[in-house]
Amino acid sequence: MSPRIGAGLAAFLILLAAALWARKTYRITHPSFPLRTVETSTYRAAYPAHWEPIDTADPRIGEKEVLFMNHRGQEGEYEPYDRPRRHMTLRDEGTSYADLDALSAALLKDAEKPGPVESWRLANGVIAKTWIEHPAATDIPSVMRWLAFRGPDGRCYSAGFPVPRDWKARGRYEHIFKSILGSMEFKAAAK
Amino acid sequence: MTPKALLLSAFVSAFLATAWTQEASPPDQSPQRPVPKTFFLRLSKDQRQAAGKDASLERMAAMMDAGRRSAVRNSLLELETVTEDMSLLTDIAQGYLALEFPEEAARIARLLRDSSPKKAALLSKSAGELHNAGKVEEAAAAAAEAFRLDPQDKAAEAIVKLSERRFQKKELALLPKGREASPVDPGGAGNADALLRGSKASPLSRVLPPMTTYHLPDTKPPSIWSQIGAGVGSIWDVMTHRESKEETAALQKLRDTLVSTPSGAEIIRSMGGWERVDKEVFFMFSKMPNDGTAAYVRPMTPWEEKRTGKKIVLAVNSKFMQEAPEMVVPVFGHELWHVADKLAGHGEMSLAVTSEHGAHLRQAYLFQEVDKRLTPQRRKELEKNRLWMYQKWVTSMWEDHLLKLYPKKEDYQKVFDGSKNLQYLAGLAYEDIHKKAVQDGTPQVLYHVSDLYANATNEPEVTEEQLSKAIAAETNPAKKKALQDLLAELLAMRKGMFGADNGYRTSTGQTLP
Repeated sequence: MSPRIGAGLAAFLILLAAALWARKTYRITHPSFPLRTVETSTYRAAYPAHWEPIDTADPRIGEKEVLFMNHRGQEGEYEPYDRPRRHMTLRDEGTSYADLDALSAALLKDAEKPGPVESWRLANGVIAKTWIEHPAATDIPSVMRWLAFRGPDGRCYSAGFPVPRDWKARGRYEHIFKSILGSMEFKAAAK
Repeated sequence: MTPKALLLSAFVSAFLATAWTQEASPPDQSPQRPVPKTFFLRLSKDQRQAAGKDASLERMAAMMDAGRRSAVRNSLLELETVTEDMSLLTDIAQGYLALEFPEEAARIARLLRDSSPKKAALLSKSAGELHNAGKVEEAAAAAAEAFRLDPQDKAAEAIVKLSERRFQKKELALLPKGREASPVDPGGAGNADALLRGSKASPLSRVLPPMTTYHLPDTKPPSIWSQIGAGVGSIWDVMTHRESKEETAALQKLRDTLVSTPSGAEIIRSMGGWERVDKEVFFMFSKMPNDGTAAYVRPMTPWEEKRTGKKIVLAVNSKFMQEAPEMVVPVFGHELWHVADKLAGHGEMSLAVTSEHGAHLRQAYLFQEVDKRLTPQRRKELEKNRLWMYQKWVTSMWEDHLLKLYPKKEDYQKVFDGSKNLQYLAGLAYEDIHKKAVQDGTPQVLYHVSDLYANATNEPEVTEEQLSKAIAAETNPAKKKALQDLLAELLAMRKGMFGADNGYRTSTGQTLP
């Protein structure tokens, strides 16, 4: 085998390995699941069908704040990035805020070491303001991401979730949570 | 047949004859001393060739199956009855050790004269093996004899101390490693390391403090870089630490406030008083790599130990130095409880979560005791502080019966108005209780503290369950025994913790129905 062919083969193998790794990583960070729907009086949203079922009719829990959670306990077979419990709350903040800035200002009032505020465009066209916080004085330091947005129905919403430390898990769950928020359909009746 | 062919056949015949002769009666290549010879002769032909005539007893023993080992043991038993030769008895004892029969080795070692240089070493080595096999009493007896004969034998000393009190296993790792380990030299590193069964020493562990961060099963442990960063930073903090007057005063205030509470005084008493605590613990205020960390406890590296003369570091986030002591005392008590666990010998990472549970219980007691003394105005002031509010949340989890106290999730969350991050945790915990992920009115509820427990709502069972699974899967009897011991330790620890909690609830009238 000539050196040129050898080098070409090596380059091809490296590229192939890189492509396979990229494909595998993409599948982790951009998973695709069958979905189910949660419905409150003001919106409906889709979330993975195998996640903890959400019952908005439960009087103890209510529908003002909905908790999306991958699983509640340790039982079951999970991939390493799915084994820890991952969750996000979505809260209906009502209509008392004049605009999105007023809502984010209110949320940022009790922020703990907030990072810079960014804007995310969700799949449903809604623009959300988002930042991360480092809640102080807990036993295990964690990072929380908070989002504030205003639906086309005029209602304000906030959402928060702990950010996984591992970059692949972070990519995966930021994608999933963003997709849940992006799937929100706001009810015209609630306007 | 030509002369050439004749000559060739003669050569071939001679070669075959030689080969046959060698096969039929192999030359005696076995070692001359009786014990190595006994071992050697029990090996198959292939094994003998692989081992070579100079193979150590351990190497030959490792090649044997159970049947051969038993046969060699029987040969040694016969051999010991027909000799009074001290050097042969020493060899026999070494043989038993190689075959992993430490009781027999200790028995033979005791037959040797005290003046025999090998007696102490053999007893010490046997003690180490017995300890590893979980035969604590026999190990202690052998170690005591070895230590009496050789007071420099650190491994024997460690086993003796282990039998007297639950000596920290991590302390064993810090044993002097100056002497070289040999099959009968238990004073060296080999034996000390052997006692640390199950712990895999990484190259990093030789330079960094064992800041083994608890991470959840099947999840990614902290990266090597973050370990290096945290470890080096922490060592640097200790090595360069100079206590300021301000720090001394703040620490004294913390200590005084702690012991002014019944639970704080009990923590210190359980550790043998401040005298013992000060002997073992290096207190300091330190900048934390992540500002979210309130405090930490870790064992010291030998360098730090040399510098400070202490064995454990208890660092409190320096941002709390200016805070009122009543706010920091529950955290301080929390960390001291980890120290108490370490001093009691419960220092293994597998017991970290249980230790955390115990520490949170103390934190909740201390919070209540400090809170009771406050004027309403002072309480209002403190409620503006996040650390105070966090501890309030921890204590609310301890109160239990959240479903009874708060009919709706929202009602419980309102207690933490002004902190959406605490409200988030509160909502999560409330739903978990409501959905029966944990049972309301049990100490289990306290496990809903921070991210560590968010993943493990049934944590008391999680650790136990994992250990039980590991025990069932383990085939190595010594390792299995070690895991069983750990499980027993966990159960005892938990029993003590719940007993203490019931006592506290009874004494404060907060008994669970």
